[in-house]
Amino acid sequence: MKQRYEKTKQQILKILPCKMRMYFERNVDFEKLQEIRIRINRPVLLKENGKEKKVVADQKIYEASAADMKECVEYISKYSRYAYEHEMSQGFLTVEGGHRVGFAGKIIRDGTKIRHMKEITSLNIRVAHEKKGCADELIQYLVENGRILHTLIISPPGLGKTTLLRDLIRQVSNGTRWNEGCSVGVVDERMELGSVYQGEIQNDLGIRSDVLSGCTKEEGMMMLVRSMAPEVIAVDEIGREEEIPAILYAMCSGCRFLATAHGDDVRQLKEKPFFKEMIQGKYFERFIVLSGIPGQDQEVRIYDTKECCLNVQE
Amino acid sequence: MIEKMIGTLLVIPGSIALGIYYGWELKQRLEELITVRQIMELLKRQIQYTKAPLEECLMEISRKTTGVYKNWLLKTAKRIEAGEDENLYRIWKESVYKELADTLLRKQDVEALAEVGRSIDALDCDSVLAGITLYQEELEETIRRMRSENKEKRKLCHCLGVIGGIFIVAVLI
Repeated sequence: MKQRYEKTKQQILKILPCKMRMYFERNVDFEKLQEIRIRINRPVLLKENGKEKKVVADQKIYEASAADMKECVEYISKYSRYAYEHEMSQGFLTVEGGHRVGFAGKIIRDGTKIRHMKEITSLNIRVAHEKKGCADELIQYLVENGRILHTLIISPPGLGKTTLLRDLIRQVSNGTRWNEGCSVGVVDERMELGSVYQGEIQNDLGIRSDVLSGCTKEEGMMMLVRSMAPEVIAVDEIGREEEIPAILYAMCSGCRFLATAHGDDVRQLKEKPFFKEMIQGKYFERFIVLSGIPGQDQEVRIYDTKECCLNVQE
Repeated sequence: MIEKMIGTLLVIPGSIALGIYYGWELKQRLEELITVRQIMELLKRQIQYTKAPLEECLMEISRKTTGVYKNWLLKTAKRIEAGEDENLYRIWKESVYKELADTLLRKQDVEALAEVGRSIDALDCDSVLAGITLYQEELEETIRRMRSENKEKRKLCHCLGVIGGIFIVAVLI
């Protein structure tokens, strides 16, 4: 575990401006670190276990300069912004280790399409955590007669949907006392689940997982069903209309489905047109709802199709 | 008399060797420019088709290259990975000057190659490719000119080596 956090530390330090590295090296607990927010001419803020902290250098609150931002963007894009045109047009990119960096700045348009982003003014580095075993208590509710149930993990951003999904994939793939191991096709559009870096999957997704990264979820799901014959398909953050046909196609092909979505609870999700159809049609058989403050008062509830709560875990 | 004979035997082959060396240097410079052209073509293709970050492109090309150029590509990739400077142009330029110092490229060749660092530090793929293409065109022109001139220049070097040797011997005797 310690080795894992040392790796995370190195990965994060590598993308920070040189002036900030010293502070982070000495004062930040990378096990608890959740996010870093850098804004030009504003204090650098970080979040550890849900608590916000300001970066202090030479007994002064450190404010990021435009040069710091430029330096940081160069490190994040590995001096190759051309290589991340698509990602940056979507407002984020994933760096080594699966850490997601969100951007805000000036948009470059090509007709009606967003082509790129320049003059970055804000950055949000979200630290990815691999917590093996975080799905231990949940897996039993997601299995029926040895089969994995179609499951949707719901939570607002930053509560650990992706971390939970990652561990679920690992457990489904390796097998547990509740289920036998089965092949899992992972569509890792944002490269956060497997964190594939230079051809190597850096996070443990189990021994029977196949990762398709860098493509859209709808393309990836179709490709996996056709080419890898997975028993379970896992995707992070569904919610676009274009994804519905691919999800239905995968479900109708006999694949079980593990996914995450942004939302507060099942009721709120039902108000969104995309999910209304999916939930009312009982496509999903289990809902895992995460709420509370990460690392502090966090609650995990599991619901069935009738929205009956099966388990509450704190 | 014997001393003069020995001197003649030393000076003439020496000046001939010098002429041959200059001729070989011209040929070698052309070959090295052709290697640079190949590297640039590979880099352009890597960026165009894989859209991989520069560091990965350079690592990949280094596998297809040998000698001092392989070393240059590897070291540049490592410098980029280590984030040695916040400016890519400076990393590239420093790497070109440092790692290609022992080649037979001339000052103007090295300067032109160092300037590629400005092109690849662009925001989008099209600009990067356009910058590399521009350099390739200039390089192509240099290679074409050298190819047409080299034969004559090499002949001239050889001749001057022989004539120069004879001239020195004549002056000394």
